[in-house]
Amino acid sequence: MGSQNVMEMLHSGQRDVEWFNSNFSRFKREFNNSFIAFHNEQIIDSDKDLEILMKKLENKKVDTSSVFIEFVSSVKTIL
Amino acid sequence: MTRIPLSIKSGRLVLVCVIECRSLRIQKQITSFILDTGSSDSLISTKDAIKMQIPLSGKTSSGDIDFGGSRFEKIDLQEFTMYALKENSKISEHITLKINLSALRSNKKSEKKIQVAESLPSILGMDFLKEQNLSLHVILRENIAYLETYD
Repeated sequence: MGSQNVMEMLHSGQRDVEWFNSNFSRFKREFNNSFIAFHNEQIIDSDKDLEILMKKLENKKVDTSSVFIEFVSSVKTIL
Repeated sequence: MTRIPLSIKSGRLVLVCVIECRSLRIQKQITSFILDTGSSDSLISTKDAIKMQIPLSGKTSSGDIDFGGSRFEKIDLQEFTMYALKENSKISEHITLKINLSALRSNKKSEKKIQVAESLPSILGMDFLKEQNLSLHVILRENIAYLETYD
């Protein structure tokens, strides 16, 4: 994977994070307390159990290298 | 002078980057880190360790660590390569950094506690800023945040 692919991954990743942030209120209603996998501004799959979500992605033969997995919750976490 | 832009998400500073670790056979993976100046260490979350299939079982812990209200075992990992976008360059370019990361191993048994432990983000702590000789610049009211290096 060359430098061009890194740039593609970074630009696509920036777009995906912006998209996730701008749709977070909707995701909280639809996917509260769930993990969601997304790429190219689309939800690929979701589950309340991370291991099950990973299995779903594997079954769909999704290359997870460019996929974000985020936990959606209406409860804020303080680090 | 190089600037690395940060996103601001729910009041948190987020660095979107690609990381890889050839010695752990982890190929390039998109990921995001929260910049956490309250943390001395940089950590790969349980969620990202599972996503990247980082082998943690059987690895010796270098100590316990409390993070996000949960207790974890800290597993020191080999050096990672991080790629992040540069800002203000006419030609789109990335910066390459060598970073030290640790992973978090949870021993939680209940479903709810496992979910809480797995929901925590990966973080870049003060060690990252020091080792990379980076300064952190934030103007929240103007939605501006970036890292800057003079190297």
